[in-house]
Amino acid sequence: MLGQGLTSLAEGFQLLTDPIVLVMIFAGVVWGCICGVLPGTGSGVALGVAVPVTFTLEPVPAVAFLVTISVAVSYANGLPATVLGIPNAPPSVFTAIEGYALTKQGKGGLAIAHNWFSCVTGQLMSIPFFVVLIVPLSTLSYSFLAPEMFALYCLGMAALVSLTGKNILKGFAAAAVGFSIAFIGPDPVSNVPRFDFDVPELRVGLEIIPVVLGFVTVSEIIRGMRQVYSWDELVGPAGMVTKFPGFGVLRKSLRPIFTGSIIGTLVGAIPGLSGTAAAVMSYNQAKLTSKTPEQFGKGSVEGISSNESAQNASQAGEMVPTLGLGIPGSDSMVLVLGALLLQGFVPGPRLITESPELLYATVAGLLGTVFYLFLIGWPTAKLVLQVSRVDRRIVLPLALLMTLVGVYSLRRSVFDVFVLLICGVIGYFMLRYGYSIQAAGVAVILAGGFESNLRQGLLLEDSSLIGFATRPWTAVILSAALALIVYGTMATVRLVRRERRLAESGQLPVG
Amino acid sequence: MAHRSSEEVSHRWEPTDPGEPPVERIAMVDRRIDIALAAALAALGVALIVLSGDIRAGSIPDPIGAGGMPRALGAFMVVAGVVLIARRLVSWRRNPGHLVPADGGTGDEPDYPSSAVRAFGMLAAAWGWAMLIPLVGYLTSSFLLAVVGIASMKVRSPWKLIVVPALFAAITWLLFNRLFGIPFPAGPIEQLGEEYIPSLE
Repeated sequence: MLGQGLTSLAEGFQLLTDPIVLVMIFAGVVWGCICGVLPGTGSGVALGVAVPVTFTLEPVPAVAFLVTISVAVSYANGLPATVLGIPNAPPSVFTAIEGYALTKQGKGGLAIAHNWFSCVTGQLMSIPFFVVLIVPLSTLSYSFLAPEMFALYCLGMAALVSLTGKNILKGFAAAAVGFSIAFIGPDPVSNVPRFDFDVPELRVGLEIIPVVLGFVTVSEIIRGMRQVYSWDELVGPAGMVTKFPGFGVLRKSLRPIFTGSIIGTLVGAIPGLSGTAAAVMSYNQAKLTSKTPEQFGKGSVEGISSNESAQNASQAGEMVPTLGLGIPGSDSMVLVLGALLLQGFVPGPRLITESPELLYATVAGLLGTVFYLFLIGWPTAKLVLQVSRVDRRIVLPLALLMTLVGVYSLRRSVFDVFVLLICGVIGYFMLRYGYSIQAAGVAVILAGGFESNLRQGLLLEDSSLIGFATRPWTAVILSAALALIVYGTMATVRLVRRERRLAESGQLPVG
Repeated sequence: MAHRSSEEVSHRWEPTDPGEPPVERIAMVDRRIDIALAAALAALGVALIVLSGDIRAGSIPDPIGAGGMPRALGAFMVVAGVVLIARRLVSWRRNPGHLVPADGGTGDEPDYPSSAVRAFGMLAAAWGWAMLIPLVGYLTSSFLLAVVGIASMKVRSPWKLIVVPALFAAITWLLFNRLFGIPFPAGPIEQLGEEYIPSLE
């Protein structure tokens, strides 16, 4: 197993000698940084627009490109938070508190430098942890049969729905919508047609990419087009980025960075938890163990380092369930899995064992991003903050057009474009009204494996549900899924009570 | 709109105690549409149950069958839809207005007017792009969609309205068609381009 891990690292390094891989990683860093800085343009839109570009690429550069975008978005999210006090994503909230406090004290350079150093170091440290986690996980899946596979699918869905949404019932309803779309086409076990309504295009089922891009990307773009404003109106002018403070100053943050990297990778590896939970845990841990806890909230560089290292390391962590089990670790990973489908891979627990080149490409993407961010991260910080001056009113329509072109070029099919737009409309309402589009997207991707493993597992156990559910690994994993659902339900109940309390105090209406 | 400083917009994240993370502002939605969506969910569930009755049995008999999952999921969707509707109705009288918290939904940026018509108009234009592309070719249809989209966002500068869409359509055509070798429906402009620009695939 150790040998396999070292091989993965060596292969990842070797891929970095391929000029195409290097160019795609560089393009991913630039694109990810641009999207990370722009409010409302997170990894969903960044990856959604980039996925069509991967259609014509070989799998290795394509995967490295997508991994890089995800990491670069995470890095760039912290820049407006630090300089302007505006967190573009929830994990950057603590960076906004600490970084902006420093910026207001005239120490913007110090804050940005810690942001940059923590991201690069945290990402670098997370790579061996990623390999250590994913190799045994993917090896374990060899001993899993259909019931265990079904349990893993359940765990992934339960984790994503329970932990990402504020209303667990709406989360599961969203997943049900995704499942019902995936039912269209031949049954995965007996191959009989289902819900094709004698429409020739429906007989083979819907292409997954238009459906997922519709849910995740088009929905977000058209929601954004509801309003006309400029990004610089929202975030203000790019703030001052002063001179680099030197590595001697940055070295003092190594302890919170190391701890943040471990927390980030481990927490990120749990489907549904990802960056925000990792950042919160790491920040709190740094505060508890700091020699100067009184600095937290007033411009603590330890606060920035713990937060940024954890949220960047969580990107590597999210790859663990995505590639090791075929279960997306976060919403952006849904699009990565969708792109893998296009490349001919079958998402599922045996993804890595059957296609180890994906692991090498991921390692190369993570290493390459560290390399580029180390070299150009500091000057890029200055440049990308200017991106908020790009006219949002032009970017959104062009992003939609790019998505349309990408989906059309997939099979030169106008029907796929219609599917994209219909799913975009459904996704728009889901996004606005609290139905998780990520859950719907994941359900579309995993539905086939979910259903076929359940039915084949029952056949394996002579139709005995008890025999199916009491297999040791199946029971353990299903119990974990159930625990997550209970946790999610309790969170929903707490939310309803909180809303009611606020309503009773006149702060919030409840309906 | 006048420029706003970061302090002025920081209310997107509600302030809390010093040292604690600010909380994202809760999005508000129209409860009537929320109920309509829950009703649509229940209706989809009913449709799944009814239509799964038409699915024929496969050659491999299994305890769930090809229609089993759709039926189970349809039943869940009906129950979920009814519960979501009931929840809104139970608390209907508590709130005089129709705006309610969105249960995790994503709201608009505060202080800027929003228009659902513009968003759906853009979708209709995108539908038109798909209809037009086989008729007039990639470049013309893409240029038109970009112009319509940018104009709908209230851009009036001729440079941004005409030159940017033309450049974008041309660059994406060069990228996808000439570089990646993906054939797009060709109108008169593409035919001219294909004559003079060799494919690099």
